[in-house]
This record gives sequence, structure tokens and C-alpha cells, in this order.
Amino acid sequence: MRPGPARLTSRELIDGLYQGFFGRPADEAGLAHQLRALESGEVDLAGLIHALRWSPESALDWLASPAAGRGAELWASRVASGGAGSGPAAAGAASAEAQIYFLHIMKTAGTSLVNAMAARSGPRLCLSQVFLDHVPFLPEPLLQGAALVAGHLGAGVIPWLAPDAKVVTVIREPVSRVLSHYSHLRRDPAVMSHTAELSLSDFVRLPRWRPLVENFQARHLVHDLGVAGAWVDFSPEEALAAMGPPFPDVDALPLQFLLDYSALPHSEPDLLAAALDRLESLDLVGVTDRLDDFYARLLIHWGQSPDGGLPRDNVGVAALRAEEVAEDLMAEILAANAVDTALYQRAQELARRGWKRPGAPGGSLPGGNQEER
Amino acid sequence: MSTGAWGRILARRLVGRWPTGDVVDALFRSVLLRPADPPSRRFYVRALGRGVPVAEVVRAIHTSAEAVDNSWRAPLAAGAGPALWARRAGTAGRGAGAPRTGGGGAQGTRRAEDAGQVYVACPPAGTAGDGSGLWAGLAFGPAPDFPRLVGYDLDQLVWVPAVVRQRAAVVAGPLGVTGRALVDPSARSVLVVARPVGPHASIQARVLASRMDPGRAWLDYCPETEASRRGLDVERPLQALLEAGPEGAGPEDLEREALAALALFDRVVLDGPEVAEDGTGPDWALYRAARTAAAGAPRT
Repeated sequence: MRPGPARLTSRELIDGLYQGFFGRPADEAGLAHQLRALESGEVDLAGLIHALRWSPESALDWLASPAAGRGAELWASRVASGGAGSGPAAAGAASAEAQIYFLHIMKTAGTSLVNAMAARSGPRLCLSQVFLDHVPFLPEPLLQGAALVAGHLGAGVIPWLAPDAKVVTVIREPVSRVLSHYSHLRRDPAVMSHTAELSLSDFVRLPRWRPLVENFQARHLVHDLGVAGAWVDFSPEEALAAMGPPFPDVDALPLQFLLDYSALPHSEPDLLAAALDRLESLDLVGVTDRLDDFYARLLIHWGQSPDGGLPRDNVGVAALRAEEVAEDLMAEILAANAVDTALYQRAQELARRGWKRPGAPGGSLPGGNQEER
Repeated sequence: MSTGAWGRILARRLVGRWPTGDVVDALFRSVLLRPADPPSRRFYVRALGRGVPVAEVVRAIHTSAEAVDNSWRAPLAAGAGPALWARRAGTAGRGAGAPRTGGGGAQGTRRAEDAGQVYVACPPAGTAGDGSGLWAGLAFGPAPDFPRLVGYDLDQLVWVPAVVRQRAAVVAGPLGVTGRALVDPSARSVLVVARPVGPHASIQARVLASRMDPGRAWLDYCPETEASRRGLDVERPLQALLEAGPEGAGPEDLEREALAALALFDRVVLDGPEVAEDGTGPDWALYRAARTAAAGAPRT
């Protein structure tokens, strides 16, 4: 084999990418287009690779490949965890272990929880770090067969999950959640590259960031974008662009952006009623300040002993403390979180209750839960 | 453009402008969604330095176990979203719908008319068709368009996200009636029937007589287990079960079910030129009925 070069020409690169991704040489038109874009600087190396890798042709090639279907692996994980029967005769039989959907609201300490659950999952298949934009494109056997689905996906994805999925969430005291969210953004290079200086005052008061401040937990409980209609009844990209300034025209995850930022159709009283209704319907509610209890209940659902507390990850380094916030700003944060405050108060009561009991509206007790009877 | 600029472009084309380390870095970020770890980066840069073709490095990263895992978290098919929308918007104007938001969504709420889908149930392998029936079936669909899921078997189709397979311009493969459960319920359907091989052939009838629930595969039952129990191919278990037909069904049962299935399709076409030869098996009964149906007016 001849020694290769330390640098590649644009043509070598494009040919290699086409062959590697699509198993075919670049067609003349594609080659000319990509060469022109690369040489003119219209697109950089990462942009070219990203565009080819995420192209519709790459998607179709992938869907047709054997790697896309991993049913046997999925089934093995379900059998090992007691979440499936053993043949067609098992159809319709109740699963021994229902799927958990962790409706993870940002900055409620859920990352620690998801990581700990994944570490204790054994043979179970866990689907975490999923964004809303990915949900319509995940195969149903996976979405419905995973033991744990976790992400900042809101409540609109519930119809996509296993019909008997147990929906659980954690609610945090709203002021500390807002401050944690602010600190998180300040550590995010992608955000800070566009924002020279993001003060807490800007975060709370500017329309660009306000949706992250104002009753954000209630938003995630009730905001339903109609994800099933994405790319069919509406274009997430166009919907994002239509939001107009101060929001960006484009985002790599437009549906996720819409969930986090687009205007809610509710008045405040309606939002409170809808969010409380949703909270009551969930199978398990925790609060950040009693996360160990919540974690223990999930482990019991998996038939595991809840020994030891929850290992903490993603703890806000140098997160702003409430006492450091100016009085007027604190008053604004509180005013912007009237619904979340009421939600948190109710969540504290529900957290003491534990798993929802059978026969209660909207939920049932999962197998293995005996602790609070 | 100045002479100097042309010179720089020429030099880049001759000696290359893309350091192999940068290429490996960009591949990792795009495919594996993380920075390249130093040992992997060294490995692939050295490989390129030894003359391993770029395509092989791209393929190795693209098909690695880690990339497969990532595809479950960030499915590649998500890249098809804009193309699905373009298909719809291109046929009926843009701004067809809006997400349920309080005013931040797209303006205009007219629901677009879709270009429609065609579902083509092709004959399975082992018949004497020449493939022309597929092309005839495709002709009933919209113009060449994205996406066209042609040649998919049941094991593949199950893993295609619903938003893709229900919005595809065409879904075609040896899928019988069963595959229709996975596509757009309003799809125009075409059954392609091929000349049977052998006087007692039954494979087409078996496929048409099968009534499986592919949507519950690996959730309520394990196709591999079932295929293994029946001594069938476990590599493509759903397709194997489909082609094996209902367990315990005799020739009369297969013939009856296959003929009944004909009525479930909007059109019937023959795969290859019509032949007069005849046999006695279920597939021949199907073929005779298909000849009659194909000659008649389309059922729409």
C-alpha cells in the first residue's frame, strides 16, 4: 500500500465521503457543487461532513441496513428485565415491569438521576439524552420497548410511548431552578459565543431568555406542540423562523426550541389548572430536595434495593445563590413563577405520597412497589 | 478572481488543503457526536498516512458500534424531516399547518393535500416475475420523489419510523397484506402477481394469507423465537414468518385466503408477460384470478 498524504485534496475528501457514507462515487453534479462550496469557503469541513452524513440519502441507506433493526437485542433486554413474555402467546399479557418515562425538566437535578438509573439498569435498554426532534424518527419498537425513556421532551410525547408507561417527573423550587438555569447558560460556550455578557437581569428581563424563566416547569408539563404533525402538518423550521426576533431564525433542533421558547396559549390561571392536572395524573412525582426518595422508588420499581443515596452529577458549579440576587430581581423571578411555585407546593405533597395508587385517576401502581402501603 | 487566488486554489487541489487530523476530528463530531479521543484519532490519522482510503475510514466510523448506538439516540432519519416537508409543501403550497403554540407558530392553517402514497406488494423471491410488475406498480404513485422505500422486506420496514414510512411516496416490497399495517392507511395499493414456478407453487399465496401484527414485534412477541420454533430463517424472521404463511394452513386454505386478499388491493398487475400455462397449486389459482383482475378496470 502506498503511503497516504498528510493532507487531502477537496476532491479526495468528497469522493471518500460519498463512498464511505453512500457506497457510491460522487455524481458529477454533487461533486461540482460540493467542490465549489468547499473551495469558496461557503461550507467548511465539518459542515460538509455533517450535511452528507445527515442527508436524506444517508438516512434511507441507514434505514435499509441491518444495523437499523436490532429487535433481538431489544427483546433480550425486555425478557431479562421481566418486561416481556416469551412468544406470541404472551401477546396482550401484562408486562411485569412497565416502561418509565422520566419527564426531565431542565435544572431539576434530573441528570444525576438519569445517570444513576442508567448505571443500575443492568440488561434494560435506556433511551436517554433524546431530543424532541428525534422522537418522530425513532422506531416504535424502540420507543415503546425501552425500559427507561428520559429527556427534556415534555408531556407531548406520552402518546408515543408504551401504553402502560409510568410517567414520572421531578419539580424543583422555582427560584433555585431559574438561578441554576442561568448558571448553566453562562457555562454553555454555544450560548456565550453569541452573548458577550449575559447578566441575571438580562436573563430574567429580556424576551430572548424570558421563556426559560417564566413558569418553565409548568410549560414542560402542558406545552403540547403536536409532535405527531411535525414535518407532516407543519414545518418546525418554518415555525421557528416565524417566531421572529429576538429568537434565532434557525436551530439544529427546532422542535426542542419551540417546546422551550414558543408562546404558550394559556392564561396564567389556565396554565396553573392544566399544570396541576398534569401533575396529578403522573405516576410518580419527586422534588429536587428529596431526590434520594424518588430515586429509591424508581429502583424498587426495577426490583432493586435502594441502598445508598443518589450520586450527584451536573451539580451547578458556582451556581448563583438566592441571597446574592438583588431584591427587585428576586421579586420579578418570583412573580414570573407563580404557577411553578404552586406546582412545587403540590409536588412536595405528591412526593411524600409516592407512587400513584391503583384506581386513582390517570395512573396505577407499578409492580414491586410496596413501600408506602 | 486574481491570479494569486487561482494559484492558491490550484495548490490546494494539488497538495491538499485538509489535514487528515482535521478530517478525523470532523468525522467524530458529526458521526459519533463527540470529539475524537486521542488514541482513536492517532489510529485513523496513521491509517490515512499508511494509504488506507478515506472511504474506508469514513465507513469504519460510520458503521461502528458506537455509531449504531448513537443512531438510537439521534436517529439519522431525523435528517429526512425537511425533505418530508418539502415533498408536502412542494405539492400544495407552504405553511400548511402550525404547531399548537400561542402565536409563535407558522402562519396559515390550510391543510395541504398530500401527493399520496402507493403501496406495492411485490412477489417474493422464488417466482418467475421479471420485475416489470414493480415498475408498473410504481407508475400508479407520484412522480419520483422522496422518500421511496422500494425493495424493503418486513424486517426492514418495521424499523423505519412511522413518519417516514407513512409519508413515503412509495413503499414496495414482498410485503403482502401484512405490510399495509405499517404504511399510510389511505395509500393506493397495488398487488403484483408473478407467474408461479412449479405446478404446486404456493409462496405468493402464503404471503397473502399471512396476517401478522408487525407493529407489535419485539414488544409482545419475539419473531426470532417464533421463526426458530418453525425452523425458519432467523436473520430475517418477520419476512420468513410472512413467507411461511399461517401455520397449519393447507392448499385450500391458502388459495381461499389469497383470492380473498385480491379484493383488498386497488389494482392488480402481472409481473412479466401473461402466460397461458397452468398448474394446480394455490399460486396458480391466484395467477388466474390476477390475470382476470389485471385485464379489468382498476378498482378505485
